[in-house]
Amino acid sequence: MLEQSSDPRTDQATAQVLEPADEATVPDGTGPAERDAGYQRRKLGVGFWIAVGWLAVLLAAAILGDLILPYGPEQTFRAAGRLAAPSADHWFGTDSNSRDVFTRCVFATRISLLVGVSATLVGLVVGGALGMIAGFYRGTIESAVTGALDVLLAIPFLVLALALLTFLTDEQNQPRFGNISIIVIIALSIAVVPSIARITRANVLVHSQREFVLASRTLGTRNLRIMVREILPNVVPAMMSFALLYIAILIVVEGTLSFLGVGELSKPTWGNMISFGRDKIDDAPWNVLFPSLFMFLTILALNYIGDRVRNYFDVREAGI
Amino acid sequence: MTDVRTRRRVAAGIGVLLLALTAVGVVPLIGLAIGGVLAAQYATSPGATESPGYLLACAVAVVLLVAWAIDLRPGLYGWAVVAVMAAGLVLVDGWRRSPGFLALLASMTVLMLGATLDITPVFVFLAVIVIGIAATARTSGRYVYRRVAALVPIVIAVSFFSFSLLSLLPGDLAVNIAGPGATPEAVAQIRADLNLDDPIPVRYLRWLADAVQGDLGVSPFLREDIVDGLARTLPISMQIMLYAIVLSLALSIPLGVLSAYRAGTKTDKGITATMFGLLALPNFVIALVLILFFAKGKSIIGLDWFPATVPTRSRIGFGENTVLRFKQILLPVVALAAGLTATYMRLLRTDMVATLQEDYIAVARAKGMSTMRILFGHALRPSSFTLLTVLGINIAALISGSLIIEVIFVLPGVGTYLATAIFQRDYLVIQGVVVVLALAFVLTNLAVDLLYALLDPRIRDARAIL
Amino acid sequence: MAGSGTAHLGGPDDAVLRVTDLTVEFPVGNTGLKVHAVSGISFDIRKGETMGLVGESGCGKSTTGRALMQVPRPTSGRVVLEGEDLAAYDRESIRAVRARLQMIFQDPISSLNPRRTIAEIVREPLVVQWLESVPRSPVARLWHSLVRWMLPLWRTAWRFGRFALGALLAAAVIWIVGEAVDVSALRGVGVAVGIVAGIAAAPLALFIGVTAAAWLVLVLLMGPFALARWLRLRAGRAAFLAEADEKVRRALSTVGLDPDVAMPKRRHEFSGGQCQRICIARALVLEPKLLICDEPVSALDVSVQAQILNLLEDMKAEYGLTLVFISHDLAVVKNVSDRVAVMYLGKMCEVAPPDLIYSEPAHPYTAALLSAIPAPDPTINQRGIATISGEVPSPVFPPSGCRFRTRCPRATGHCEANEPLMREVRTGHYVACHFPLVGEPAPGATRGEDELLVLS
Repeated sequence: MLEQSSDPRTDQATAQVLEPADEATVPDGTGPAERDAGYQRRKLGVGFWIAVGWLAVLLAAAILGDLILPYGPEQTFRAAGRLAAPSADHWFGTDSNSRDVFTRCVFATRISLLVGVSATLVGLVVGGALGMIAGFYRGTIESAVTGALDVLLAIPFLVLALALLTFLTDEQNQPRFGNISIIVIIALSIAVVPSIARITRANVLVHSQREFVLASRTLGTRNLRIMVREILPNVVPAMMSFALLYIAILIVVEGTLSFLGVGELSKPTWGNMISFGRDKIDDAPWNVLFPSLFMFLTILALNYIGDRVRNYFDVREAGI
Repeated sequence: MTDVRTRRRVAAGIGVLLLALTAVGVVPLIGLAIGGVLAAQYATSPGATESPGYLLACAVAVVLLVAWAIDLRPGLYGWAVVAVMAAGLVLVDGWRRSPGFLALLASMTVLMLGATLDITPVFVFLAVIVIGIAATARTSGRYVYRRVAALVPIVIAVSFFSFSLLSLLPGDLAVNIAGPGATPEAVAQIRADLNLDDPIPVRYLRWLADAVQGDLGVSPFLREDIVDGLARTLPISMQIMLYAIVLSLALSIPLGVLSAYRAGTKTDKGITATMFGLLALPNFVIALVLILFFAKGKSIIGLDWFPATVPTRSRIGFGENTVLRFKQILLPVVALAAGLTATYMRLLRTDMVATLQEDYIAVARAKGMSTMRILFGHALRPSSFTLLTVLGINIAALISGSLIIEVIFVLPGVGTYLATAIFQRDYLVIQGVVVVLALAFVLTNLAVDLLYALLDPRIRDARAIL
Repeated sequence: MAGSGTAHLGGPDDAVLRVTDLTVEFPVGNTGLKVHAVSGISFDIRKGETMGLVGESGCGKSTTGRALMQVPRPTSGRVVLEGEDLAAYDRESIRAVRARLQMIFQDPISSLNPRRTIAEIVREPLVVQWLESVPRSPVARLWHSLVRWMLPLWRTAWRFGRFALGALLAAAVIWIVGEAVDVSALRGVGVAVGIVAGIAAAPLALFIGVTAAAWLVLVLLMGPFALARWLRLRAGRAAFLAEADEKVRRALSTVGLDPDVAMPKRRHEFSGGQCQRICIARALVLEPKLLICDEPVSALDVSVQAQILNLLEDMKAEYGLTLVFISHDLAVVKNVSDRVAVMYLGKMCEVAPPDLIYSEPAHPYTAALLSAIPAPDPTINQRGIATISGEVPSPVFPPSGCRFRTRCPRATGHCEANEPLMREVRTGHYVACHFPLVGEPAPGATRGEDELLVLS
């Protein structure tokens, strides 16, 4: 076969040129130029692995905290005193209750990441399913789902989370049911579902118009299988990078909630450490700066990984 | 006044005049930004009437008017600014062709009425938005009506959602609202006031009937009408948000354009990396770091230039004692604007890089057009649509951001109001704030969408057909 | 033509596929208007034949192809495949027929899923058939049929229910205004309107509620049944995959690709021509009777076009295929077709073997199309040839009578009033035109009379 021995790219180039203009095909990043650029970009780079490494170390330290760290998060150090400056014994100093800031920073990872990751996961499952349904079945179902989402989207994210959280806890900031972290996760999940659903829907809309979906329909494939086998694999890379972004956002939101005096206040999180340290910021800035640094590095890592993943899969942002 | 040169001179004149007024402290910071933007826009645009300049001017004028309205101190300088802007617009565009001018006139009338009748500034703000809608309706009626009609069910659903939040509370609602330390009389009073014995749909309708008349109830803790509380605090939050938007745009547009123009170079990489880092800094961290460096009594490097907290006063004058005010507002605004700047700059850069590869840019370059004119006159507008959309969506982030920033800097805005209410579990205030913020968000998004349609007729027409 | 009629259909027995009065319409938004994409076309295809379908962009030829595949289902008409009327079948019965009916698409790259391997893509038709071979539980079937019945009913309910809902809203507004200005009469009106609207809405709400509840119960019941079915599928999976792998390999080798090289790859590692080969392999893996080719070579390089056309010829011989070949390229259609059908604005103009149609077109539209082919000879005077002018009319408001009359140089008042029917002007040459270029004018179509008719 002459054609097979020929350079596939020339064939592709002409195929692109000959594509009739009246056919509204979605550019899918397989044009020759884009493809070449894509191959060059398909490297994750050193930065990516550094970011992954930071998250891995953080996660390991958080999980194994009790085993590898000499102090506990609630342990007080009379000898060092309150608001002690960083020293060899207490790398990041102590807080106003004479507790070790470094230990607390590491332990804070538990709640901060737990809240961010689990709320994002719930959001991805519920919002992703809603978005998939809305994007795939057009018409009545779509308008019903998007209408319901629009209502939730009409309330600013933080305000929604705050309102839900306030009404789910009592005067002493104790949960009305279950665990406070679970309440925070529930509130943040509800708040995050509509925006994830919207992004998913935009991505699904792009892919459900493609010819491979039509081809699948002509085979008599059932809708569920088309959604799971044809559309989902195309949507997942984009959703992955958005999910990383949402984890980062939710870590910040968790901190914001601590500032406003709701959410997890008994166990350390980066947000409530910063919030508590704020009063003594001029005397002991390390109480604010070190948890801030942890937060910054984690968010930076998540954003960077998300960015690289998006580039790696050559995902265009379909709608915001 | 059809000559392009004359137009440009007039526009530059407006800019210089505003700059001069700012310099002598008559017009606040915002005037500076407007003057600069206007002058730059007109100096670089190839034809004034077909340029977005007058639309931009009209938008900026509305922003200015809102800023001024929420301050509710209609001083002479405010009128002067409006008069100069109106005159400039008429000179540049001819009043007949300028919907911006009509909107301006209409909003002036509303503001005058508002000031005379002493109406709450919140309602003045709403009125300005309505006027803006009306002005847009002149050019794209069908789209506007569809968009507004689609809003009605959302507003109803949002109000019902906020109302029914109270029903999430377990136990006796009246006791919950009154708080733990309330007397039985106070509880009975609240039960009667809120008709708590009625079924929920009836209660909702009663609550809605009161709400549309500007009665969101009385806070049992502050013993203050919630609407009055909002009227006291909302203007301050809106001021911070407006300044933050202006500042972030003023920073992100030049940086984005520069970065796109020098795409791939060290300059570009430096700017992009900085912005990427900025994006990972939560605004409360930025705020605390700013306090740590520059706040009076808190600075660790001895640069105690700005107050860390604003003295609790109900309203801060816009023009009076400009220097003090500038000092009070600068740190919160910078903290709020930092994240926005990074977002906007990245969006603009992406779009601008794509635009600069278009053929018509190559044509403009081949014709020997100056780089500045290519960048700002030809490439900026087609690249700015994503930015505009996100500007609307980002209002939510802005609201969230200002809530936290206010708490940190103890500004008497909505954030502090809400935080206090949350601390006391003042459920009625929480409900009222949620409903008003959601409404403001929805309406602002509507306004941005309409402005978008006004700027880009293709969108307007496409959506009108669908 | 552009007309209807069934005179060109053959006898009842020799057709693999017979299409009668096929109509496809799409609604235009909520306006109540319709796009008449395909309006009552008929044709039949004999066993082993290649039927070429040509026409301008937007004439409905691709829509016809998709309607034959029942995606989307045609609005009306019959599509009879080997004696079975697909248009009359429900969705479940069609699934079984699809193995005999396959399609390849215009854009070979876009019709392959970028995230699946070629092995998965080519195997997909077999998997779908295999999944269908294991019956679903009665609960699932009940659920599916409930969905099918309920959705239109819900839509209808909503169509009326929204008025009741609007009335409820209006009642609330009246009541609130009454409360605001404190007029008890207004409040009373609000309550009255609310009660009336509530009574009107109640049965609809009840209906929707009950059906939705039934639906939900079925969804919950489906779980265990689905699990049982999944276990059954799991048990037979290995055997199926081995068998399927064999078939996929055979299909890929017949289209000229090395299975070992191609199977683990994804589409971006192939050229356009190779992608079209993969599409053909996917269509042939089920060994269909009829293959619908929707512009299969339009997106390809000219040098590759010939290879793909040859491949299709080979496959036709090897698998005993019958082809429907849709294209706007007259030259390509001439080379591959046994018969050519010309379409214009959703109607059939002319059906004949390519030799007849290309040498002596009977329909003015066909003649115009042929004359629009640029001749590679500068000495030919292009101006002397009748070309058509004007734009294709909107398919939302198609012209009365003959649809081509607005652009036809030979049109008269008769064409405006009467739609031409298909008739045979020569042996095997059918045309739907009152005044064809070949043969006699249609009976009853006389120029003079009609001009008089129009005048009077």
